[in-house]
Amino acid sequence: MIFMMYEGSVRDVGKLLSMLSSLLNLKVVGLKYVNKSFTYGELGSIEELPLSVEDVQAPSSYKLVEEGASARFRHSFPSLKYFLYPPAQEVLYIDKDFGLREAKVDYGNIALFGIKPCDLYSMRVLDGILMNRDPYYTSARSSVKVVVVEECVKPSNVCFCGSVGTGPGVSSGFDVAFARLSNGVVVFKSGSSIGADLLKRLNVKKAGDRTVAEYGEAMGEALKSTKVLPELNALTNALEKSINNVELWNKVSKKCVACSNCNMVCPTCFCTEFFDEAELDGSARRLKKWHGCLSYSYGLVAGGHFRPKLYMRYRHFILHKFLFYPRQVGLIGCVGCGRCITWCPLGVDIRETLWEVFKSVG
Amino acid sequence: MLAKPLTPLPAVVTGVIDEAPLVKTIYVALRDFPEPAPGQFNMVYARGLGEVPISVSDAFRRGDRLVIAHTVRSVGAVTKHLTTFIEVGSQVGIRGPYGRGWPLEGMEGMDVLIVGGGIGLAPLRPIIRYVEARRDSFGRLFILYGARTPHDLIYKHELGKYTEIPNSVVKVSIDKPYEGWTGYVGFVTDLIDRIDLDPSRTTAYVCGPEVMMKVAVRRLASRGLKADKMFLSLERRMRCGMGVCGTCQFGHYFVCKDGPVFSYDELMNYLWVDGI
Amino acid sequence: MRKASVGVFKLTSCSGCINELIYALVKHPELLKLIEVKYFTELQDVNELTELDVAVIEGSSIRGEHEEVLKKIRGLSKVLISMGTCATLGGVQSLRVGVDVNEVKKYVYPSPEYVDAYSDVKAVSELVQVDLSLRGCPVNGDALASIIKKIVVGGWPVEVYESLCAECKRAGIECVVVTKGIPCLGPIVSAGCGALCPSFGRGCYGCYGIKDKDIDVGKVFEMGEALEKLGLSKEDFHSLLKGYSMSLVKSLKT
Repeated sequence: MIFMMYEGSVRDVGKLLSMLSSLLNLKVVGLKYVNKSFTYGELGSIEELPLSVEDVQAPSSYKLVEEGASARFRHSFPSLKYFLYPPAQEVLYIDKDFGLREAKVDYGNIALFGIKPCDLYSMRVLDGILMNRDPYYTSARSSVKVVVVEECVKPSNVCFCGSVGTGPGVSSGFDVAFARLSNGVVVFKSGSSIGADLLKRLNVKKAGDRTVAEYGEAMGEALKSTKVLPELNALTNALEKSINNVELWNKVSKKCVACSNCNMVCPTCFCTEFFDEAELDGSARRLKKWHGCLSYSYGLVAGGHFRPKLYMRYRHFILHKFLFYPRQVGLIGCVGCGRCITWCPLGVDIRETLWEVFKSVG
Repeated sequence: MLAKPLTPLPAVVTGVIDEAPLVKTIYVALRDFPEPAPGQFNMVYARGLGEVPISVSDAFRRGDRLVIAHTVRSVGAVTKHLTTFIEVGSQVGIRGPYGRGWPLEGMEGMDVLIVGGGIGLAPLRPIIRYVEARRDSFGRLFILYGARTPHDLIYKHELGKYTEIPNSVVKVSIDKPYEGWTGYVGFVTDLIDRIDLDPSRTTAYVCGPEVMMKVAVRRLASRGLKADKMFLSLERRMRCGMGVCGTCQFGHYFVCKDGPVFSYDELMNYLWVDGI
Repeated sequence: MRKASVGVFKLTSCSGCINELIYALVKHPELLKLIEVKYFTELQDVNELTELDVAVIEGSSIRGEHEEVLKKIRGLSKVLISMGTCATLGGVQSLRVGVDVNEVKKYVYPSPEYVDAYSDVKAVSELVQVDLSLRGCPVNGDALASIIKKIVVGGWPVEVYESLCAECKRAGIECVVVTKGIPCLGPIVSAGCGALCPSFGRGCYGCYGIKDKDIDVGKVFEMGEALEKLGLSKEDFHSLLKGYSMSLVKSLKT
């Protein structure tokens, strides 16, 4: 049955992971923590997940602490797009006779494992832009057959998913979700018939009243801690009213040096550039790379520039997430993960920007 | 979705016309290529160098092939190559046609006003062809065209012929006085005030540098034209042509797929915001 | 196809970029079939200063004689490329700018009177028109080969202006500033090296020069403040700016 809640232990999380490959024959992919570095890739076992480290995040600061069983990991800089929409891809090979060979993307059949609600939401946003348009994303995304989400019982200092409605819990778009409570109990819930079937086979017991209550309490606390922005409608109205307030945008982008780290770590930033490599025999390769709207090239055309000033590009970053995405794909484009805050080397904080804009309209 | 959306079709260059200093029209012939609508553009690929979005400035069938004209100005790495090294027989790649073109269906009975600046006449030319082919379905045809100097005017070989289109008014301007020029001197947008315009039955199609289009919008509005009867074709950095590379965003629009042609009422909130 | 005539010239520099160019030619020997080397003293014995399709300049100008040679080369060349940070931005020798050149000479040379040098250090673009500037100390050999190929086939590189951080993040390198508190100039420095230093856990010291298109004095100041908090003194920051971005520092917008 869908939406049933169960309880078990971390060992059951491991069993669930192996069931996905043994039972459903899926390649299990998640954020691996191996040799003290993070990459998206195929998970051999639960040992490769960052289950016993905790990320201590603040503007321009990221530290990992080994905390054993009580550690609750949220995220590092690689978001799901590193996997579904890689930073650089060869898209085309053109031989000397102008014969064209399009690069193929074949991910096989995949289960995403342990992704966070913010990253789950980012996939919906990217779907809205890229699905059935970009062939590489479409192919990668279509390979995802099962999604297992870990809900965030203990969000970080930079998390504000609750403010944008993307977390810390999930209510749709997943097959199985699990939450590791502080007492070691792991709550499982199913979000699809596949998920329901998996949990049945996992043989975990139905969650008891006490566990359900503790889960509710923990998730309630988590939600509260991430509600840090002004109410969304009021905020978008303020942004709308501030579009032409140059002084304000100069002020909020004062510290920004246009390094585009925010673009690179943002799970919903998808802008790309194409590059050519010429060979002397007339053949060529065509490559695609992420390109951030904070970079000077963004808006640059031969013979002119449509966003020559830094504030214009910073403003686009903010407006795109909060005003333009809703009009483009019907979803808010900021998932509230806070990666742009942590990984900004100058400590520019999107929460401060949004408050500043909000306050400026009184 | 196209089977191979990012793969250009190889196309042979069948003609090159020198239009103006640094401006050439390159004709390519293609099989199995969709017929572009007026105002749409193609991504033109120079092998090993890159792709550029170029408006379709003409399209016609020749046998089993579709011939498409792209008017290119040499401003960047790729356009410089296209205007310097490409000759009849050269191969380029073409993807497209992309975007939303000029609204012409449903405009029957209306007067058509074309305002073009510089190379901005290129995407407007298919409108002239369209109206000419259906002359009785439309009202008057106004063609207002301006360039910096007489040399910079494009389609010189056919500008004169536009006056032969029945019920048409053609006015050409250059920005500054030039020896031997007897026509109007000033900005093309000045010409808007020099025609007998009936705002209630006119649709305006505008393309040129963005500053010029902004002036045109103001002039047309002062002549009583409604915002939903003015159409502008925008230029932005474009890399994909189908709304995935994100670099052409203008407000919430992807200029490549939501445009490049927009009605002024769609743009009103953004057009006056610098760098949006 | 007519071979492109090429000349490679050296002003004041360490020849590191010329080495990269030679490595690139060795790695892509097919290039040599399409170019005719007219002038390249590090590569051949017989050299001729004549009309060129492409002139490549390494190094910056430190005396009047350099300026004259440069102007002559410019007059003879269709395309002029400044190769590397010295040619493009001044280079490490710019550290002495602002100090009496005779004082500096005494520290280095036993007979300073034989050394002809003026006080300033000038990038090529301060003296003649430059068609293409390549940064890096040294330049990135692979990028160099890629650009030469494009020019030889009748093209031109499409330039992208972004910070080193963009390359660093795309390569999946963990930020040394954010995770380790190591001072890194990456955020204000031009991309191009492939984030070499951060990939070895070191901070970028800015050898590609600062991004001049979107960085003004205020932004450099913001960066300086941030670096100071990480332990990089103002003096050291200024030295790095002088040593690798001198011509940009001269022209920074306030």
